[in-house]
Amino acid sequence: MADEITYSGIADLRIGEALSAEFLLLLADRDSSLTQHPALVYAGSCSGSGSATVRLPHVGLAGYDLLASTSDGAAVANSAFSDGKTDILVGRYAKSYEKSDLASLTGANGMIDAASFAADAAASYSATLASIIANLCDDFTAQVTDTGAAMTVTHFLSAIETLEVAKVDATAGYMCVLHPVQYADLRANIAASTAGAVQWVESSHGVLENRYLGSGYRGQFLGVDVFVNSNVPVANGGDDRAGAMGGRGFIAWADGQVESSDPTALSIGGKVLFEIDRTPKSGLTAYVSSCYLGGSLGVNSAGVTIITDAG
Amino acid sequence: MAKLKAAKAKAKAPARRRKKETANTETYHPNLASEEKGIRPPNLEASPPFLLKFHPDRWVISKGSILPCFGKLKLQRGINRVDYRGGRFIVGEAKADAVRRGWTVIPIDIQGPGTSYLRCPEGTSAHILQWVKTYPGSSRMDRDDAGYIAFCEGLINDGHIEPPPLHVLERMRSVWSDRHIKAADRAVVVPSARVEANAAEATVKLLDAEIKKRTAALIPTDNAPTIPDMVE
Repeated sequence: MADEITYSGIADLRIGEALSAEFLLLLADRDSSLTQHPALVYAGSCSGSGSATVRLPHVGLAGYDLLASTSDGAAVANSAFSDGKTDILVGRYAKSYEKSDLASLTGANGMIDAASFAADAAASYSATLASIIANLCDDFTAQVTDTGAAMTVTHFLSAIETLEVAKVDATAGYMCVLHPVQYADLRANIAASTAGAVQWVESSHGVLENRYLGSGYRGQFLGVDVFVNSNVPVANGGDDRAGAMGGRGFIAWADGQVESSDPTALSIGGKVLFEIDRTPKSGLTAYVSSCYLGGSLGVNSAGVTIITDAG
Repeated sequence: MAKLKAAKAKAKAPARRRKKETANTETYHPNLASEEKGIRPPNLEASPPFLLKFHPDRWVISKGSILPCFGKLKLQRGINRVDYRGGRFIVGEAKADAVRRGWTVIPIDIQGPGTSYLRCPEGTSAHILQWVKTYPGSSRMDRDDAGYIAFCEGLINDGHIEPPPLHVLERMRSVWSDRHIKAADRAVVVPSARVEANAAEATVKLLDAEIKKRTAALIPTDNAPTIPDMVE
């Protein structure tokens, strides 16, 4: 036999690879729901304020200073008014994807176009804010530290205790931001624990059964909302990771909204400015996303750093 | 005779084959369009550069030493008032805030002019301490314990940071003593817990020695007594 039509014999009629209609996302911290937790305080926008720094005052009101026992007819001495502050410097965060016309017109599956980049800009804004918050986790003076040791329920309980002793308001709920390794160690400890009431708490089952499979929110454990983010910093020379637990006001953030007179610019949620910058001479189009963000420690005692093994 | 000649010819044949085989064993290098060259960079998350900061309340016990548990003043615009203008980080306000909260910021060149305790592994945007060991293509990080401990002890010995306060040592002792007792109890029925109990016991002894040393050097405060103004 001869002249069979084989795949290798019809190279002029076939292409090397055909793009699938599907694509896979590279892995990232995509669930940024931690930014919505009420324990974080949004200090406002610096737009039109005259400064890039937003000051969030701390005041000793609503029962901070007790009334002094005073004799009848005696003049009461003035009480010292307690105050403090958190200053948040808002800075620009931006990125640009620039594509050539040829790269664009040969596209078949909508990965390199304005709509994809605009959706990416919105997701990147949330992820950036989450990373700023995660990067503040190792800044608290109070700490639960067990260097080189895997995180356990004991560490988690110690952190809760630290907040409660510091009178941290729990009405907004406590939140905990951990590195994935810390969370995995905590889950393993809950699973391996063979004694104690914690084993039978409903939220323990939530952790063990992976009820929340997103990459960020991992459910509530012992009354604390637990989030995972891989931007939680390393500590102790790479031995550990430094997550944090806190209540209302432990971290504050601020932003600024930028306006554009360009009719092709898009303001996404009033937070991200998405612009298209065309360079006709080069046949290039850039998609530029900008936002203005900043974060700082709020009330120092309202948070506790949790330092355990980095895995 | 003919048989003998045939046998000799047979014996010679392998020698001829060997000669031929030798000519065919030259190494072959395929000419690839792309080739991996050099060592792959470590697979690390991007992280901003930072200055170490020390707080007198934050200490850890690691590898038989009492070490400061540093925080980080991250050099990223928008985090804790750090700004970035003209290619430089502006950290004055951030440092002032940290100092107000009781931190001491460790200068980047604390080990001498032109030195830095940071490094950025090639091919990554991660900023890590000099003593963090990284591996090609891996996200694993280990610590050069001897180097890091020497750095920390150098900071204390050179007076850049204060040694751990007595109240911190006593608090740590209480935690480790409790851990020792629990592990020792467990070791009665679970022999492998003996390792943990022994480690905790060694840590308690380390803390006891440090507390003893610090107590001997303690100068008691000499306040005037407070007598409330009262009548019977």
